[in-house]
Amino acid sequence: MGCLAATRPGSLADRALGLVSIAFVAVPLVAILGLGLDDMISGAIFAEIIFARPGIGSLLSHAVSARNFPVVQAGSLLVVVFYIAANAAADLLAALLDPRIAAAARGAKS
Amino acid sequence: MSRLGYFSRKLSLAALTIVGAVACLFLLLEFVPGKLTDAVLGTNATPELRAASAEKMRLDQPLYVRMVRFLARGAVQGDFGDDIISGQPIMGMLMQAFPFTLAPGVQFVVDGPDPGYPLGLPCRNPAGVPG
Repeated sequence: MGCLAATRPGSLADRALGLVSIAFVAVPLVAILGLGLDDMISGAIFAEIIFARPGIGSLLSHAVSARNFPVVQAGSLLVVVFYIAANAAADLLAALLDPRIAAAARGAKS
Repeated sequence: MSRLGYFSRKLSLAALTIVGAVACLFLLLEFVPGKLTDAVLGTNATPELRAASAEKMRLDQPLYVRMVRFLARGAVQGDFGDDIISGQPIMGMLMQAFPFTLAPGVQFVVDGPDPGYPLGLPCRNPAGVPG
């Protein structure tokens, strides 16, 4: 699939190419969204203290100051699991969108 | 088949990372100053009371036993035990708090690309013509 056809700007073919172009940016888009979601979750610890949201971040920070270790452990595990799940989902989605990624990983392994 | 191999490798790596993270967490809390029994009872408790509290929280068992138990009960059954201060189940507390944390993340994924794509697509230069 290539977008090398010369089209008149604004023509129907040109607009169709615009839609096709999304396929080319889909892989980096998925990678960036996956990493960004990770940042939103792990950065929540600071954001939720500042904005006083009753989320995982403020729960964790209160548990740490109260030495409530079981809550710290469970909360950290939840953040870790979510982080890894978002990362894995982004990786798998990228491999679904572009088969070369899975092929490259296989080539690098063997 | 090749994709399936890639997927299973990624997923098993993810599971391994979770186990490693839990191990780090347990080691960190083991060596951090301050005992869990002090957090519950205060520093003036009698040794008998302290020992009873440690036994109740299974602190008398070795680290790896507690770790495997935490992983098995937490990951498989979704039961992380009770909060040592309020006594509520921890899983309920986490589930109550999680939507507040997830909302900005979902909003980022949904809204993040929105303004960029309509602005960027007309700027594409498919033919590679300079200018």
